[in-house]
Amino acid sequence: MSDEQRLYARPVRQLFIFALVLLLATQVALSLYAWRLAEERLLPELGRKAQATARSLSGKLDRALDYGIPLRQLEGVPDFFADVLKQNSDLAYLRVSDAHGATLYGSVQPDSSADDEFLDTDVPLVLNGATVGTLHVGVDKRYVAARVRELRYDIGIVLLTSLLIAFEILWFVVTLNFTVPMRQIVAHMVRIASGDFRQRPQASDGATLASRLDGITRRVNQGFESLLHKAAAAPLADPQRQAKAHTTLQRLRGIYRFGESAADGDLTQQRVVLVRVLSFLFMFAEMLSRPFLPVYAASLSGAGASVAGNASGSAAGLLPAGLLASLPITAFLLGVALSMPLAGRWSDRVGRRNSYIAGALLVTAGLAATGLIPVYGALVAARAATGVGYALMFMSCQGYVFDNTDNSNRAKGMALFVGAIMVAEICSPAVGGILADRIGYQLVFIFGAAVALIAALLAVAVLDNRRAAAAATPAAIATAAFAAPAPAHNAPFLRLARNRRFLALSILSGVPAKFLYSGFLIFLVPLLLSSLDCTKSEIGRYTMLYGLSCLALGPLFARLADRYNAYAALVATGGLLTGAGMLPILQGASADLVMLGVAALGIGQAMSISAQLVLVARVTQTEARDLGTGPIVGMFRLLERLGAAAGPVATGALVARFGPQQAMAALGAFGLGTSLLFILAFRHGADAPDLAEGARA
Amino acid sequence: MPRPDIGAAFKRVANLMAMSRLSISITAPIVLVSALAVGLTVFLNVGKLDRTLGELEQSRLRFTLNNLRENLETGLDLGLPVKGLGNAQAAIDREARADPGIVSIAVLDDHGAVAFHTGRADSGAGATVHLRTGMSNNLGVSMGAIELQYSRRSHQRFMADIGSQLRMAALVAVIASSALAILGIRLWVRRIRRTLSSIEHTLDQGAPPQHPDRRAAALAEQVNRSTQDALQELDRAERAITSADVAGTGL
Repeated sequence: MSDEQRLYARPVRQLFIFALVLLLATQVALSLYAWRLAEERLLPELGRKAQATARSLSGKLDRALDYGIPLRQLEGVPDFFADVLKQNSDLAYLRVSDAHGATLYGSVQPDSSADDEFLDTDVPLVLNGATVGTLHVGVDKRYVAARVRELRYDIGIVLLTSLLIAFEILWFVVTLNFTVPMRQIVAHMVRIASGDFRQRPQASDGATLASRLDGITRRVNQGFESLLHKAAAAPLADPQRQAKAHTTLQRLRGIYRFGESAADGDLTQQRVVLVRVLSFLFMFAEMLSRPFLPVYAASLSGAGASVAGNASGSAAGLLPAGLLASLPITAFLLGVALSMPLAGRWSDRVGRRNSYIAGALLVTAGLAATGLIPVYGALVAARAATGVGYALMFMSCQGYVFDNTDNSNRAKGMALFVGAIMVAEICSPAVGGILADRIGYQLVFIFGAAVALIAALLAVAVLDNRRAAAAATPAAIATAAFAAPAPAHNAPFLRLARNRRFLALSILSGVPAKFLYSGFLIFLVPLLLSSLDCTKSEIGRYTMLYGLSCLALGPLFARLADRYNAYAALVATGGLLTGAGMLPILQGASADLVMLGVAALGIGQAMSISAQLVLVARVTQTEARDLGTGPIVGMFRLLERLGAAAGPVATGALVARFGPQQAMAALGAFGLGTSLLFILAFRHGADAPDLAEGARA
Repeated sequence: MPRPDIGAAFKRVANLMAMSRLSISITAPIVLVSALAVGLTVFLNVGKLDRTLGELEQSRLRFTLNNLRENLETGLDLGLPVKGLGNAQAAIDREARADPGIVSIAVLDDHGAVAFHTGRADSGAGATVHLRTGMSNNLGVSMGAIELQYSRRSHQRFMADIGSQLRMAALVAVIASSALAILGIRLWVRRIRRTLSSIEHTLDQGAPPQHPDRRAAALAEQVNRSTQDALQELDRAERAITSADVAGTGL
């Protein structure tokens, strides 16, 4: 980092560290206080249990003593105590001591250890008015601490989520208000210092320093222009003088740069960062219900127990229970897949702001309806409407990135957009799960609706309908696959349908990847974990693992793919890993094995997602020359989305037929099978040099 | 007496306003996110405490209930009917006396009719929790049940108390973190202002601020030098072009 970059990069870094440390310290301090308070206040409650136990057991022992059995000769006391401890895990030990304090009988919980960790309650054992011994009942102080600290995962998630959200908002605010203007000022100064006096449009109107620098460049440029006029005014009849003027100007142009220059990338970043926070908000609103939507759908259809338990339930009487649970998810994904091309075109026509607001309002209405009308049919309809709204918001954001970037910085703009989506993928299901456990499903939908409404209001404030004349908008890409055939060539669909390698890549890798993502992660994981008695918070945490894997490993695998030209290898390995990760469930359903499946899916998709797009470009080089890459990518994306829409309904049918555990194994087998077929198909079609490594995969 | 420079004063005010806007727009989201996170943390902790306390109470009451059941089943094992259990009333009275939270205990026969009862029939205790356990004899024949009604008043009082303590702690945490955020951001903005004023002063070739940002000043110095060089070059070039010294010796 140069000295000049340090002028803005270091303060930004310091600001982020300060803000994140402040948030971290506040929450950690509050959590520690809450836990200490809880331990302090709950311990007497545990003591009451010990007193009740002591009172009851001493009554029994007193009765035995009344029968004349000496304390030392009571039979079966240790076994009886062990039985009591077994039924009361919050008790640490039971002990009887004689009048001198020597222990006669005792039983402890297997994991009890240090004596100072126990709260001891003692009751005298009385015979004929005289104390002959003492019964001690101990409770483990750490029991309360352990119970309270079960919250640490939830608190950790709140912490992580708040840090990520704070990071997103700060990035938005700091980029707009500080980084971009400051970077522009510093860049301007560096250019002037190096003799570049070209004038550029200002990022922030009215910034004093920027205006002053602009004044400097204007002054120098005016001087140069005046010089040009004077040089031009040199008499034509005096060639020696003209030559001298020419030489002088040439020399000056060699040393300095004058005139005007286009805006630099900072203006672009300023605009694109607007869309990052909007992308984050709409994804956050939508994904809140991920940990419980299938379970909620099943409960509304009256098929809850049969979905979680076995395959045969058919609560609504018309469709099997698994299918009923999957239909709202399918409705959403189908809404997204089918409306996206039209949404893109509409967004192009009415402007990004209008289309984003329309989408956000549709999502708000859909989520609010889901929360307010607990009727199965309404849920399916509301989810479909939410899917259309989601498509509108997605295409508006993506379109905004395309409008404000060009080929030189589009990848950077898309990375900002996708980064926000991945952050939401991590935060939202976890937060949704925690909230669902505390406030119930319906209020979580209402909360999601409120977030979507905030997104709409923010869009009113920060977006505009101005559209740059971009060569290829996402809508053009998404819709070109269906466009009327150009006279010079066939329809894109027919051209691509004849490309066997493209078909293999789409149908054996792209579609299965999205099919498994929606069928397994969105539909089956909540259902399966719910049947294993996991809380919604736990389901949210497990689901979060997918986003974390993708975010952490995606860039690493993308670099590896570039470095070793291992695109096909990564696509194939990712598919195999995803499938293999779902098979161990055959040993018996457990939360750990479901988590293994989620992690395998996350790692597998991190391997294959970016590599798939590179392979699409490689195997369609011929078609791309005629059609352009847009329609090809559009077709690939459409197939993927249809695969995603098919995932829940097909998995629902598997659940209905075989139960959730076997359905997961079947998905794993499907993933493995399609990946093996993909390898075979690519090996078969490896006639181009760039695919040779694909065959080796 | 020097005349006040109104333009410079306006510029300073504009700068200050821009800086305070920057300060507010950075501080506000930090405070807001911090408050939301703190609120959610308190919400989670109160919920967990509520559940844990409920579980502890349930565990204690279950113990009491099971103890009663074992006690009464001793009589049932001898072949007595529920109504014939002579020790039942004393046993339930003893348990009810031992825990003031117990609203009532009823022993029911196999038809669900109340055979023994202690406590208040009409609770008047606000919200209550009900626990029930079945009784059977040593042949496994169901003989009736014991029902225990427990007041939630102490639970609610406990939760209200601890809830208000946590809310107070949250308020303190939010105020403290807000104060720190305001202070930290003010210092940060002051640092930015120092950088900018170092640049401005150097560009104006005025006296440096009290604690100048040397890196920024150095860059501004380069800008000044480069600008002066360029202006001098332009000046020299102009003179050269317009002068009669065609040979260019003056250059």
